[in-house]
Amino acid sequence: MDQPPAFSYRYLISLVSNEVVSKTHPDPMRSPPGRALSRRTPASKDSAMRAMNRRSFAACSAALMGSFFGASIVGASESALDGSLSVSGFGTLGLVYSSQPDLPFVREISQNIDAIERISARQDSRLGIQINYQPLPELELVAQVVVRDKVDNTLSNSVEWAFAKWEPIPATSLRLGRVGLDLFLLSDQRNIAYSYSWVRPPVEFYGWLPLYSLDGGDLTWRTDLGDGQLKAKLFAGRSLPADVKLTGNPIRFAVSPAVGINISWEDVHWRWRAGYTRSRVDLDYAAPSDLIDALKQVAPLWPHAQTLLDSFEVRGTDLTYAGVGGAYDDGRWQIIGEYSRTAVERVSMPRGKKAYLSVGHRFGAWLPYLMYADSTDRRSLVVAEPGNPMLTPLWVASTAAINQRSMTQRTWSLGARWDVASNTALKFQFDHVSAPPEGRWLWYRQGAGGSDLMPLHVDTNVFSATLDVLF
Amino acid sequence: MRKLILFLFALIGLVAPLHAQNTRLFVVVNAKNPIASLSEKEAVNLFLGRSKTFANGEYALPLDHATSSAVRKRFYYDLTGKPISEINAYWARLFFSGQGTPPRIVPDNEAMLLIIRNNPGAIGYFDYEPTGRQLKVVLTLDSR
Repeated sequence: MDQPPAFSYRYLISLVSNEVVSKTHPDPMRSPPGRALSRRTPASKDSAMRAMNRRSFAACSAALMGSFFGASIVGASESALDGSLSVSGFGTLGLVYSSQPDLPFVREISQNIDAIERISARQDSRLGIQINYQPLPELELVAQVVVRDKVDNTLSNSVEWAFAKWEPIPATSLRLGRVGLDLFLLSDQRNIAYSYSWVRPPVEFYGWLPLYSLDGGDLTWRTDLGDGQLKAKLFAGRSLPADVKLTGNPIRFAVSPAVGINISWEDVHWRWRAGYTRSRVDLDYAAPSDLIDALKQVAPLWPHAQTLLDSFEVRGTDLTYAGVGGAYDDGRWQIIGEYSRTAVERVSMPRGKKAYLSVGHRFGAWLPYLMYADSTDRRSLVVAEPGNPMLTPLWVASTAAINQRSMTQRTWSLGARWDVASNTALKFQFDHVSAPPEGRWLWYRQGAGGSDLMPLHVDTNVFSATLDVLF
Repeated sequence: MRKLILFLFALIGLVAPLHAQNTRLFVVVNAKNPIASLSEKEAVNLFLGRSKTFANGEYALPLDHATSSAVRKRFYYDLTGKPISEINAYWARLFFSGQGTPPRIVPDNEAMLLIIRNNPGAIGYFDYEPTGRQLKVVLTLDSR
């Protein structure tokens, strides 16, 4: 562009509507405001401003309509921070009923299962707020706080992301800080239920690993390929720890370091992704501390206690995750599937193969879908029963903690998404979940004491309804 | 449960697709913009945030109509074949994972014209063919 514009669009935008548009843009064509303005005569400038002030009423009402990217932006920010700050959010209000008594349904292992009743709003309800601030065209600061059900809820572990994104050259971006731990096709959108059609991502695939955030960074490179865009991303860091309740006594799970690579390709209809992540478990024992303490105490009397302790000791163990996923959406058919393999050297950690496939079809504002998800995690540790009957309860408890806590289950889901407004969706989902007695990674039975360890088939129907909004 | 499912599908049958317009949409840039025309693929890339520049390497400033407006709904449907809820879901995924920012929303046609007239990088769309020496139509979209 040889000639500079008459005046900058940002000036125009700020006149037209503080409320609707308040993001800066890396716009090299923008001319200095002073020089730009001097090109217009005072008379025409005044009339233009009057016209635009009238328009700002329309802008105000448009923003108040609750429209997504319009209303998401805080009006006053333009003048205060030069047009580069925005606040937006998302939320879900959900209700879940599970049919099998005393076996509450959890969406992921980090949820506070002891507080979840047969009918509960805890599993899917969440609220997220995101602040974007762009001080320079090539630099953006992003922070997102999400309130959702967790065993341990603190302000610090509710900060889902907080990073600086730097794009020194087009098609390459570097993010440093707290970023998403990008293992799955839908990793970074798990909390944003509006962005997918189901009530929740399949628990077989997404529920076993409670890690969302990575303190570290990632480097993404993009290029055009065919009709779409190819992205390659490298990431490294330490996961934000998550407390999980395998019994009443929670353990704190994290991986550090985690290093991974993802390659994805996306065009208008297709989205493909392949990723490989290698990480090291940052946790002493994959069992509650009371169980570990008891085993340590009896180790001198019962040699097998040491075998069990060795199986539970996971610090420094490698955990590798490889996954492929694809999604197709032509506006009518919507097909999504993923497959993954997790490998860990210790039998006390979930591993194995996971897969799901979902097919949906859009009819106007309705999108009914059918999904099947499966997770298979074979593990078994045989330890002879101790001679001393005093040790039997400990033997039962510790072998069950390995042999009955695998992530083995499958779910058939039938549901529908109904787009009631441009920023609001209502969803209804029915799940039939079945798990063998040994597949109880997600099915800790609350308050049942020893009976929690008794073999039990999970064969339950789960009914869910959610309201998802963007704002 | 069976009754509920039957009820759901009955509701689905009642909701007919609403795509009956025959008019065209016009994608417009500033007359100073050196590009003569834009392919549908290039328009998709610009408006879905996959490319930030025009073919000549200049930065683009895509502009969008109000989120719930009829013209926005038609534009994305004609361009991608997807309903506007899918486009909103797409942007929710990118925006809330820190991967991109959607096109700027302007309140009405006049505001969009004003920005395009005054910024060589701006690109917008209209359900009529806007005239004026400072404007240039680079793509005409037929309704699907």
